[in-house]
Amino acid sequence: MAEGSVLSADQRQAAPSVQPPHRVRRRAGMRLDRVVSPLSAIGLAFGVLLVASGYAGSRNGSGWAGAVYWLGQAVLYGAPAIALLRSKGISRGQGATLAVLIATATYLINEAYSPGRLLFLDEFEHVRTAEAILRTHHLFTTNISLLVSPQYPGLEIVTTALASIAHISIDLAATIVVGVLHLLTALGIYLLGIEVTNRPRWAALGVLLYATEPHYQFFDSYFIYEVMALPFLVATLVAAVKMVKADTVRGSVVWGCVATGTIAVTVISHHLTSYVMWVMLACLEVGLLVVKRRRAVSWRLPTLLGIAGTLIAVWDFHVAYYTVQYIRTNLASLVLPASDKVHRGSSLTPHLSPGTLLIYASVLITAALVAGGMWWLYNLGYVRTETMGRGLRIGIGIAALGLFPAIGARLLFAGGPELWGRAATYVLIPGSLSAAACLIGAPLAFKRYRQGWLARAALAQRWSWLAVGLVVVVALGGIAGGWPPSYARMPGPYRAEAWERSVDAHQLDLAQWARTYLGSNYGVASDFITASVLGTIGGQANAGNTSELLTSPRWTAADRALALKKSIDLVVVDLRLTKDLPLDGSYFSSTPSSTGAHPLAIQGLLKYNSLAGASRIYSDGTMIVFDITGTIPAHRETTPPRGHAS
Amino acid sequence: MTLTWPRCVAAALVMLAGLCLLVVALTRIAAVAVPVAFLLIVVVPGFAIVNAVDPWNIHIHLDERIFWIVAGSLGTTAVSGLALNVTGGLTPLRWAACASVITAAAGLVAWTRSGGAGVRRADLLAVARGLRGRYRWVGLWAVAAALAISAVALSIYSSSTSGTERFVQLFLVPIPASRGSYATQARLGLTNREGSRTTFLVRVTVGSRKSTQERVTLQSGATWSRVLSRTKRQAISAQVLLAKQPDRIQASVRLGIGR
Repeated sequence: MAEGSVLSADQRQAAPSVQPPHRVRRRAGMRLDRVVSPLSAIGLAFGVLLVASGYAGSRNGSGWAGAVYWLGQAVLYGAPAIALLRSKGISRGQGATLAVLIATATYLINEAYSPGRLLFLDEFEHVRTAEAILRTHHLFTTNISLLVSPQYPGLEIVTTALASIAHISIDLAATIVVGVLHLLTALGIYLLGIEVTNRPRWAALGVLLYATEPHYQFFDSYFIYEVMALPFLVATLVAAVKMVKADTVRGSVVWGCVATGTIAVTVISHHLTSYVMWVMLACLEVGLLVVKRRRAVSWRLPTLLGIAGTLIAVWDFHVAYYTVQYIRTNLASLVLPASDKVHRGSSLTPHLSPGTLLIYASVLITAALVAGGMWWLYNLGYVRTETMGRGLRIGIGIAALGLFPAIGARLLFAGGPELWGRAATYVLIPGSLSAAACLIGAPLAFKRYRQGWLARAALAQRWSWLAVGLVVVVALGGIAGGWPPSYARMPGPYRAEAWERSVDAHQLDLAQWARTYLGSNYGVASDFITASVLGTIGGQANAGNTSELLTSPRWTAADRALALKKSIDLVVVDLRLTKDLPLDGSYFSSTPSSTGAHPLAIQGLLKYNSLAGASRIYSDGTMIVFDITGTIPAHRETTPPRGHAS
Repeated sequence: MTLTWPRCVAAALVMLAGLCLLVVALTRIAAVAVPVAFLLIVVVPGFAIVNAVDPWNIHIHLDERIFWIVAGSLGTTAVSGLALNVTGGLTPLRWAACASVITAAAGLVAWTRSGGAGVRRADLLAVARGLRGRYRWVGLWAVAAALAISAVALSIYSSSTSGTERFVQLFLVPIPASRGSYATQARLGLTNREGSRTTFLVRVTVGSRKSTQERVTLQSGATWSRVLSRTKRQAISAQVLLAKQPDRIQASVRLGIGR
């Protein structure tokens, strides 16, 4: 029996005296493998401690912080890679433990950045939805900061349930829920690997390789609705595979019902993930069509595809009617031609820094491993004659092919890096299993060429260490090219328009004040970060495209007309923008523009001090809020009534 | 009626869900409510469902079992939210009741499917024997846990002490806020974000009247406020200074006159 392989349910039921593999006594030579899990845990924890030390040093402005951070990341990925690639084999339990440990360690890194506090702007949009649910005790409220958010309430339902029963804040409930979902995703990928390959080491390595995807440590661990759908996408694949492999109709019906449940949760949680789920199920079906299979099972996946398609159509077009508009708008902003906009960090940059080289190396190695692993998925060892499993593995391989268009998108489109990161979240679910196959299967291929030049170079003997190095390079490159961007990767003092580095106590306390004393839905003109924060957790309305109100040196008729057109009630000023250049390229949007070349002029920000009819209603020495409704009497009469202060 | 091991588990889960429901109904103490909420949202319903599907632990391995317990609990919570939305609303008591109903229903299925021989002592001994061998590596796990806890503690300490912004919030909000510069009343307030107990000097000027100064001492995070009145042709202005630094204005606000 191959390493760590498991008995089928029928085998276990027929022979109850046969011990499941995880209870089999191990051979003496493999006793060291019993400490794989605790030793990996020590390595992972040490990596987390190094990263946390790097964060602490960065907050204090220490020069060594960056080096310690990268060392910690290398240890974090190197330790389990060594455990998996240098061991002869692991048990199923050890593999599951490693999967959970990897997820735990990476989530702790996210929390170490800002313990117990949400900082990402997208998270605030979903906090606003959650707050509305807690306030109204009902779903499908209106969230003007992200219209589509209340229509996919899966994440907010679970979070508000926890927050309301436990009487804790949304931030704390979100931290707990997202942490659990993060662990669930990792364990789900492990189980998918077990179902498809029957090898714990392979499956655990797949989890580790998945953890190298650019968004894994941060973006896919944020309080955003995709994070709820992701583990249920994986759960759907697991249940679908088990449904196909079930030996009895009853078993297939049970797993079909489970898959239907997980499909439903995915559909109500996130639009894009549900589409990817349907495509991956279709890939599995294509894989099964390639091999000969019994007619008795040929109806299973098509039925599931029909159910999934129906649920998606009903939800996305009947309940979540903002979906089409939302996807169209966001897709357009990401695929604009590269000649029109050059985003900071675009892969078309001619300047190849060490970080850029690391990113490219990571992408190329990943592509090579995934491509190489497909051969192993097709020709998996002793189970070559097992058609069902082979068909499922072919399906996984087909799904993994999505990696290559994603790489193409990274190279071609203006929003390439973000597109790649978003796509990698999905395509590396099957891709990581394929890449793991290549890393584990390569030595077997080398042995066939013992007399060849590769063997002479003793590469096969050194392969495990080389493989560890490849995993670490892929991981570090993923971090370098992922989220947060380089200027926000380490925590520290405020920096202008630097995403997580721009959300500090001034922003958060201002948002809380606005919600408490102003009520809701006042039109706000400000820089991108401040307007986003106020437009989400501040409960106000982010007018957008109002840069002239903060850049023109004097109040003009054009400013007045703009304020009237955009229903601006408040102009919010951050005096730090007169000193700090925007790290994201612009003060007023997430894409670069000419307004980012120089700090803002203070005259433009403080012209409202002397403007007749304007009031300065808030100041903390850094942030100032001007109420300009008194400058436009007609505006006050025509704007709709605002929500009352809490 | 034979009391088999799965039936014991099903009954225990139903009793646990009932106890959680009672706790939710009777108390708001966070130390009690947090674990209860975690059980109801993340553990109990999924556990009951998995126990109903595979009561004798034959078809589902332990790692799968854990996965489906958590996924089942979160999934039923998410779907239940849709049902609660149309049947009265999402309140804590209704959440707890819904989770209890799901647990009870699944427990009934498990009870029905798990008749047969009584609790086998051999099963319990096998579980205990399986756990015994793992204690050998407790020391290594303890080292790992200590490192992780150190990392978390370092992060919390570092983020709470390094580069913490200290400032005071001063505001002058029209009453009602929508009146803007046309309001004849305004709420003047300040919030202490200095990080410690601080004494402030607040200077207020209404129209052409002489400025008044008030001494305000606040604990960290506390807010002081008062309502000011004026006529439509009077502007109001206010400044805040630190008592220990009376020559530097920390923040200033002004309620203008509407056009």
